[in-house]
Amino acid sequence: MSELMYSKKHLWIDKNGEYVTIGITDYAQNKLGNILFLNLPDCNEELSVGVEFGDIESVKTVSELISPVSGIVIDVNEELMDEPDRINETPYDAWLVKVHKSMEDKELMSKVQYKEYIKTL
Amino acid sequence: MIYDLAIIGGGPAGYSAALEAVKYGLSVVIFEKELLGGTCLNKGCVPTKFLAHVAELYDDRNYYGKYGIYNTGDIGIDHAVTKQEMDKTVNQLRNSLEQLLVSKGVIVVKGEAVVKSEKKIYCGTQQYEADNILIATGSKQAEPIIEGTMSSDDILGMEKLPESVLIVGGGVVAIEFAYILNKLGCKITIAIRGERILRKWDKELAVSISQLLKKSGISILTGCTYEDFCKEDYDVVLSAVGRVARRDGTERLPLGLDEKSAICVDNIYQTNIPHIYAAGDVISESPMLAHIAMEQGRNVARIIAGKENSSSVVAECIYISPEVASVGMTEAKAKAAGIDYVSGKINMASNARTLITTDDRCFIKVIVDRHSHVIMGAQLMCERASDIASEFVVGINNRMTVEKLKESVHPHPSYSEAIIDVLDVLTGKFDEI
Repeated sequence: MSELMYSKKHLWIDKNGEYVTIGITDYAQNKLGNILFLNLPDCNEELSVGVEFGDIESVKTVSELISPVSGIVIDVNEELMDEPDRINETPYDAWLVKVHKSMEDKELMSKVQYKEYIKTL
Repeated sequence: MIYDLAIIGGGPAGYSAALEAVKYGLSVVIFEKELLGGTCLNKGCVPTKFLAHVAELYDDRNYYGKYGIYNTGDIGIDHAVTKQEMDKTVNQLRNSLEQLLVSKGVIVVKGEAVVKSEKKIYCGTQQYEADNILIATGSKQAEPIIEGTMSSDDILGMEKLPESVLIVGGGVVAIEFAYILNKLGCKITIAIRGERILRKWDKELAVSISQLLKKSGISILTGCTYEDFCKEDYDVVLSAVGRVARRDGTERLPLGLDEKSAICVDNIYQTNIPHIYAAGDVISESPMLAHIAMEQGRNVARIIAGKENSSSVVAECIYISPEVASVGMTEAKAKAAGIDYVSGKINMASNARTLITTDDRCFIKVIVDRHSHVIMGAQLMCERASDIASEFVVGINNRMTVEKLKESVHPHPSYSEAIIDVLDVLTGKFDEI
C-alpha cells in the first residue's frame, strides 16, 4: 500500500499505478455517525472527477460520494453493501470501489495536508 | 341477443372492464370458468396480504419488550385457523364482487367459454354473440425449473406450515413469500441464478431489500446452478420463477402472439382481429399487476363506448415491512434515456411517525427534471409506501413541479410529511446549480 491521498470530499485514495482504490476517511465516518446504507456504482460504470458516483446514508443524513478520479469502475465492494457499518469500524479497510483511472482530482492532499484541512472545517 | 361486450375471464381486467362498460349503458356478459376475482383475489394479492398481516402481527411479539408490553403466556400460530380465516376473507370479497357485478346488470356466466369465431362464444351447449370481445384470461405460473416443487398456490393451500423452505427465484412473488414465511417462523433460503434479487427493480431498492431480508435471517444464495436448486435439505421447494400468459378458450382465434405466447395488442388494446381486445396478464409485455390490468380493462370499456381512454403512471409495490413502492422514472432509466435529471433522497430516521414505528431503515428518493423541476419518478421504502406513492402518481400525472407539490401542507406528525423533506433536499440542490 502506497501512502494514501485524500480528497476535500473526504475520500481516501490508494494509488497503484493506473489503478486506485477509494474509501471514506475516518473523519467523515465519524461525522456521519452510524452508517446504514451505501449506494455504489456497478462495474464498468464511468466516474468523473467532481461528479457524484453514489451516496452514503447514516442515521443523521444522506451524503453524496463525489469522485476524486475519472475512470472506469473495475470492482465494487458488494459485501460492504450488506454491512455498511463496517465503515464505522475500519474505514481504511472498508474500500468502496476500485477504478482504472484516466485522470485524478488536482487538489488531492497528503495525510499531513488533509489533517490541516479538516482543522479548518 | 347480441351483447355489446363479452368478456372472457373474471379477474381484475375482466371485472373492471365489465363495471366500466355498464356505466356507459353497454350490455355485458362475463365468463369465468374458475373463481371470480382471478389470481389476484383468490391466489395472489389478497390471500398473500392476509398472510402478511398475520405474519406481521405475530412478529410484533419480538418488539413488545421495547415498548414496555410484557407477555407471560405462549404465543404461537395455529395455521389451520389462519387459513380458515384467510379463505373466509377471500370468499367474502368474491361474493361481494359477484353481487356488485349482478347488481350493475352484468350477466355473469360460470363456465368455460370457448371463442369460436370473431363474434361467437360457446359455454357448454349455450351460444352467445357479442359485437366486441375482451380476452382477459390472465396468467399462470411458469413451468418450474425442477420437478416436484411447489407453486405459490400450493403454499397458500397448505394446512400446516413447513419448517424450511427453499425459494427458487428473486422476483416480487419470491420476495413476498420469503418475507411472509420467515415472519411466520419458517427457515427461508432464496436461491437465484444472478447476482441480485429483483433485477428489474431500481438497484437501490433491490439492495435495500436484500439487506433487510438478510438482517431478518433469510439466506440469499446468488450465482446458483441447477444442482443448487435440487438440494434436498429443505421441507419444501417453492418455485417462483415468474408467470406466463394463459389463453384458455381463445386458441381457435388466429391471434397475433409474441415469442412467449402472450397476445399482442395495439395502443387501444385491440388484437390483430378488429373488435377483439385483450387486457391484463395475457397481453404481451404485461407487468402482471392487478391495478394495471384493471386500468387496461376500464380503458377497453371506454374505447368500445367511444369515450376517451386515460393513461396514468402506476406504482409498483412490494408488500413487505417497510413497504416498497416505485413510481415512474428510476435513476437508471433516466440515465439510459439521457435525461438531465436531479435526484434527492432522505432517510426517515428523523420522521417522528417512522421512529415511533420501526427501527428499520426507511427512505424516499425522488427523480426530477433538472430544468423544469417536474417530478418524474419516486422510489420509496418506508411505512405505508404503497399509500404514500399515490401522491407521486398524482404529481407525475399532473406534471407537477417540486415547488407546486411543496405548496400542499402535510399533517404533522405523519409518514407523508417526509415528502416535503425530500422536496426540500431537491430545492437545495437546485440552489447549488
